[in-house]
Amino acid sequence: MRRVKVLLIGQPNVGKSSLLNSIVGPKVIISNYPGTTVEIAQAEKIIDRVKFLFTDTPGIYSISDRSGEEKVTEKALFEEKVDVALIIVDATALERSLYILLQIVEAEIPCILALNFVEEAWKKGIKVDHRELERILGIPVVPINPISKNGLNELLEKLKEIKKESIGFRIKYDEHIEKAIEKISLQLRDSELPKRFIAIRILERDEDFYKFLNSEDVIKKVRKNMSDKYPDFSENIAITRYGTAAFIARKVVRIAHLKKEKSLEEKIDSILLHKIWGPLSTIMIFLITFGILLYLGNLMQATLMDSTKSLSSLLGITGKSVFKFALAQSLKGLAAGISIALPYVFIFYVLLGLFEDAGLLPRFIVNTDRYLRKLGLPGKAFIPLTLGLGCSVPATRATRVLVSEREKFYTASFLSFVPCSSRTAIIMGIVGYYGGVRLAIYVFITLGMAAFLWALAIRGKFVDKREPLLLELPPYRKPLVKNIIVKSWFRMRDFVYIVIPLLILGGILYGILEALNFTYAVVKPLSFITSWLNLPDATIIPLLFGFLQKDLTGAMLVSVLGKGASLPLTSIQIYTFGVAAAIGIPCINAFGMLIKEFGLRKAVILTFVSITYGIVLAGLIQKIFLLL
Amino acid sequence: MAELNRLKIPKEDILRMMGEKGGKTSIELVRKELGIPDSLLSSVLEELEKEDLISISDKDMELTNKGKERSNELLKKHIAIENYFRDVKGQQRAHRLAHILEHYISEEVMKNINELKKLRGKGKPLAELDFHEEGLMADILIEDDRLFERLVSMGIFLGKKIELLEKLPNGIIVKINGKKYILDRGIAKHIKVIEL
Repeated sequence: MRRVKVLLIGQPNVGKSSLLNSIVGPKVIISNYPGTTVEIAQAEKIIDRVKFLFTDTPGIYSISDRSGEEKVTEKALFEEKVDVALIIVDATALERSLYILLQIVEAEIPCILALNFVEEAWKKGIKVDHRELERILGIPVVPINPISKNGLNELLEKLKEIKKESIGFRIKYDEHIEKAIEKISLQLRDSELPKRFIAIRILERDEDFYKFLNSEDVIKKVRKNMSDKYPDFSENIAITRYGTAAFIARKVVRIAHLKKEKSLEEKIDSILLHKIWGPLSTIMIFLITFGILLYLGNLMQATLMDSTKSLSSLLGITGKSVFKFALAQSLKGLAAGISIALPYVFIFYVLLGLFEDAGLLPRFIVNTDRYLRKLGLPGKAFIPLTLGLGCSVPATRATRVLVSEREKFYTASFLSFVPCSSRTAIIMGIVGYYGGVRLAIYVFITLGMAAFLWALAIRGKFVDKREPLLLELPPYRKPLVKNIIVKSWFRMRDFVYIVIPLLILGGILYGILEALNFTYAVVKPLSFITSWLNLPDATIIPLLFGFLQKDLTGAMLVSVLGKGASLPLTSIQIYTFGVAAAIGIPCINAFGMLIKEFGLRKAVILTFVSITYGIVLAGLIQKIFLLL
Repeated sequence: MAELNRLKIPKEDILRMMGEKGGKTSIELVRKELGIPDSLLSSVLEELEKEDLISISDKDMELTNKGKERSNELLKKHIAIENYFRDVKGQQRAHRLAHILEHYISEEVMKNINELKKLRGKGKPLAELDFHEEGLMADILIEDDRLFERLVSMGIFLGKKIELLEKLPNGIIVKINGKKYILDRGIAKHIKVIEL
């Protein structure tokens, strides 16, 4: 069977995922891209005895920018043997979309252009002459609509017919740039990529392509010659490319000037992007979201915990033997995992996906950027930090959206203060239940303050240059449920495959230690911690073993302090416990993900320092409070 | 003002086109080459005739003497823009802008040439536009090549109309070609605009 490898490429919000979904259905496989850490979606489909392998790539504006997303797409384009690049283009912003297309055409990779949002363009008075575009570019152009599936058959036909040698339009640069391209081309090693393309990338200072040079002296020489006369030559390349894109767009786009009306989008944005109402409504939306989650979460947790209890007694594993105890604890761990995973993590991620696909997320980033900036965090840190409200494990992974290693690690360190669903459960379930909602709110506020102090203390070490805020605010769109489910599952994966098994293991481990009376062995040697916190010595058990099984922290606390409607703790002690349990890298799962992302040394340091910080701070606040 | 521009642009387009064709053309050709929607075309032609710039007979049209003058003015302005940028920016930047002039900006800028001439050298920072006011991006003075390329690839480009939608403490929200962006204050201060 003939195999055709298709790479989907496009700028953000051009509908790549919708197209993939409408061609292959939701059966996409999400996997790590070989050799990198960023995930991509892949799917196979056999049509008329041709096996298509589709690979989605992260949305990027050009292949010259240095974000993690860009690196993946570049790797996919140039290092994999791709048969055809399917470039999805936004008909309402043709010239901008043509920019990246022209870059790929320069690499002489066979391309097909899928023109999306044609109807939307019509409504805006924009008409694109796709036949003329096809003629100018010399590559197939197919108008598509992933929702009504119009044009998809034609697109697949064209994909089948694509030939290796179909090369499209070529940009002509200025004389001096063309000369420099020629000079560099002569000094390049043989590779599968066209020399002209490599030379242009080198002139645009893409250091990844320096490896193709026989010696780096060439580029130094060329650059020295050029920069006397043309100091802006690498800018000129971008300008010419854009100019060419605009020139082509101008030839094929006709715009009827429609009367301006205040659209729904403008109305929503006049609130969501308002100086004051913007941040306030963002907070409101999240508070409501959490209200819903807490309600559903409590409901589900109660039912699941009850059924585990009855299951345990049904299986007769309520006894005191090591095996039975371990089994009972592992069941508890599983129940805790599921009761948290389902409502908090999954529903939260679905809602987040909804916000994202509806176009709200960039607005949230705009509104939170101001505050994140005060902490030295980039605006994009909003994504991992918000995911952290669900589970710290996928959140740690999501720091990959950031550009530099330092930025990633610095952002990950703030997951010490973003209460994941398990920590929210501790704060609400222990502090809120035994000490009152107000006390729980104090704990949340303390987390914010702790994050602020943390930033003051360490930002100097991590933040040197801030990435400027530069975001497109896409139009609001009706989200596709299929896309959201796929995306939420993708984000949940870590939770299901890593966290839940470890929750069970943690439960078993804790059960064994408990049954062997080993848990009490740590009480004495670590009593210096509990005495600093002014808590009963036995509370070290939930604090310490909570690291194995965060969801059982509450249950452990109740069991070491005796049962009943109240705990033998004062309000301030409950608060102190809550703060000490909530600050820091929360559990062994998050620790594992930190090792994976940043290496053992950094993971150990961050985990140790953040937990110690939480304990020191909790004790300190209590002492200050008692002095007053 | 939006309403004024609506007819101004096609009117100037027609005059310029007729000038290039030696003063005579047909309505059909105008419709074909300029892509002016039919709904607009009749009112544009009507107004041109009323201002005594063209005369229409059946399906053909011809520039009047007054129209020929206007048309010449419009053609000359092409060169005027280049000079405009040369004066303001000096050799190197004029060279850079020449790229755009060749391919593209000339057309966009030409449409707004009258305003441009009046405001020569008065490009002001983007943040000084009023709410919902449109300006023409005359300069993006960003040193960082990567950031510059990023802006360009996003469609934030010289010679484009830019509308200011909102000023936030951390950035400025603008609309370019129907797409909305937030630009960091640090970026916005390097973008100079000319009022339309």
